[in-house]
Amino acid sequence: MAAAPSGSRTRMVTLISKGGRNFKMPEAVALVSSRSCREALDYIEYRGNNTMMIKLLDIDPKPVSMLVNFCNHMAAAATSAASDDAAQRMREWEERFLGDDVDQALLYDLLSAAISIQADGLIDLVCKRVAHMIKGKTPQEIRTILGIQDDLTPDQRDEIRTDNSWIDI
Amino acid sequence: MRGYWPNIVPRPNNITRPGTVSGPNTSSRVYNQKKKSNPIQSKSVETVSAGGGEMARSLPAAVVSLPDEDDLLREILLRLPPQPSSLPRASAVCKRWRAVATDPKFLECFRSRHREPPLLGYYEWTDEGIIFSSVLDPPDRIHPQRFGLGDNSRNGMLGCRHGRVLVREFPRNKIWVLDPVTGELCGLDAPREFNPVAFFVKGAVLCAAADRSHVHGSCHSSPFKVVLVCIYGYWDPSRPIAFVYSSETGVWHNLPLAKAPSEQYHFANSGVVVGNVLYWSSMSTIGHMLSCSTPPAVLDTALVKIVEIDLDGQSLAVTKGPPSMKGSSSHQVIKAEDGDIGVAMLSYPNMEIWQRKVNCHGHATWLWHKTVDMDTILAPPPQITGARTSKEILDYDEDNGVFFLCVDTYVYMVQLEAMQSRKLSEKLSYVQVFHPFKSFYTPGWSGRQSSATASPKSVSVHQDTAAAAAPCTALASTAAAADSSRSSTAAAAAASDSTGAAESGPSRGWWMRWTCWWMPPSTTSPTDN
Repeated sequence: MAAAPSGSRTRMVTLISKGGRNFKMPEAVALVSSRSCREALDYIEYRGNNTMMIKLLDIDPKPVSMLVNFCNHMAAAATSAASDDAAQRMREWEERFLGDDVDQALLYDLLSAAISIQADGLIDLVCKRVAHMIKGKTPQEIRTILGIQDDLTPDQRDEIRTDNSWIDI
Repeated sequence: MRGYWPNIVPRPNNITRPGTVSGPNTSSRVYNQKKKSNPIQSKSVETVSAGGGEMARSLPAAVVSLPDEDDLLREILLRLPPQPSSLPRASAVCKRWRAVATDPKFLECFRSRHREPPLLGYYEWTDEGIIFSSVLDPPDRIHPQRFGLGDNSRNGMLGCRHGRVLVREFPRNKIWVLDPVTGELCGLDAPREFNPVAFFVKGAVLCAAADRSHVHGSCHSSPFKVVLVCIYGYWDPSRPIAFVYSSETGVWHNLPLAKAPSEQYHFANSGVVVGNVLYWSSMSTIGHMLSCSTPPAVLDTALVKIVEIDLDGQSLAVTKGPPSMKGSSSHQVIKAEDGDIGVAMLSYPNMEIWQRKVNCHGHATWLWHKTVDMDTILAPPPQITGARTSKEILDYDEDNGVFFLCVDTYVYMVQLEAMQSRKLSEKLSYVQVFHPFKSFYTPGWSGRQSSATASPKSVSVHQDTAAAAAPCTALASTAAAADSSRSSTAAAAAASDSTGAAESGPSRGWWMRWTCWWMPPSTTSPTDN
């Protein structure tokens, strides 16, 4: 993690959501989770105010705020020692983070925000959540949950059934 | 693993130099909409409890849908469990999902990510011969007929590993290597030393893929090796013999014996591969008879020996094992925590675990590691009906450290380190043939039959000489078809060549399913027909 030069203010990263709302986090925090920030540091120059601005103008404030929350938590976890307890606490935090109040729309916007700054940890978490939603479900149930239209032709459906005739699809 | 696809690409130009701020935008999505009744939602959709929390029920279709990026879809599907029904069900959702879920490169990434193929079931000897039984519940339960061995179900099964089954046809001294998922079959003439008079033959088949990134569990096209060992030979009862066959060369090699044992031995259980060495534990013939006596005789000499086949060094050795356990005739080489080997011995209810330590001079010592009371692990606990009740180690999975025990006719799967067990089934026969079968059962391995059924060819191979023996060619025409179908241009032809419905009804006759590498119709255009 980059240390702020002595005598200067802590560098910040500002995410700008739809509506012009700003969400700030220290650069050191962003560097833990965001691949984009790590790569950007190779070429970006700071002049005047020590802030890296990241525009996420088509993403609502709530998912951006959750993204910042995620980055803060990951940076804090990175400084503490790894242990079974720490892993358990992380799992519990992740369950609360993507808890009851996170519906699919928010989940997908959160995913878009994570992709925007290449926050691989959050991409992994959201993909795991979606995979968990669909595992063990029939194809029709998956379509219902994720709002997918069935566009397979009858021939393709027959082929799938034949290909997998030995298990119960 | 994210090694295959390019990293998910963020929106361009969203990182700005300091001082730049965008203009305001007024619209904003409202989250946490009240749950709406969804007329198309099936009643069978349960509320998903994801890691303890609950997701809201899905919004009506077309309001919210998954971001339309194949990279994202791959990341999600990669995280599905490796159970047999996962990817087939995903492939039946829509065209785009089908294209992604059946892409061979995606499947390779899927296997690499999961590393360990799931245990699909096991082969055991029954009144109807060797049959496959699934250990999974629906929808992952695979019908026994799917993995039937056909005519080979009446032969002697030597083992299975890396998705292949090894069978010995006793009177004719032939070896068959079967791939139950693809139906491929390879027949070999065993070396003459293993003629029908040679009892106590043990064997193993293993994948010989040299690629370091290779993940076992879908080794259908990889080369393989077959190892045959007889420690009580017909030609010379005091000299064990071992041969290794390579499918790449098509030749059996006789492994030189590093040091002959002083007694006659015979084996127990299945071989275990640790490093590139195959191990069996063995017991002296006399010792075995004594330990099987009722009551078991006290054994005060070290009778367990380790048979080692070094596949790299191409050698055979019989080395000292740990002291035998009082009253035990059931033993099994295991993989120890430090990566070397150990031996487990069962004298119910106790199981002793010994581990081997090799010092820098190559001198091995055996150290007692622990004794486990199996009554504290087996659930539900068996009802031991008498001294003659079967209590033995049937098999061992070295990849996961899982034992398969038979106690009082019931088979248990035991994870010793976690002190967990699961009752699998009632063992139908006292014949000790029990082989767990693991495989990634990925989409596309169909039950299709070819219109042309050829009888399986067997190949006569020579031993050690510069033979004209070709590599196993039992399915020469299939192999050629498989090669051609690897090109995408042949994919449509291969797909359309299928003859439709799978077999119906039980079949005790010979079957062979022609297989081509299943290629999806197109992975570039998800919308094509």
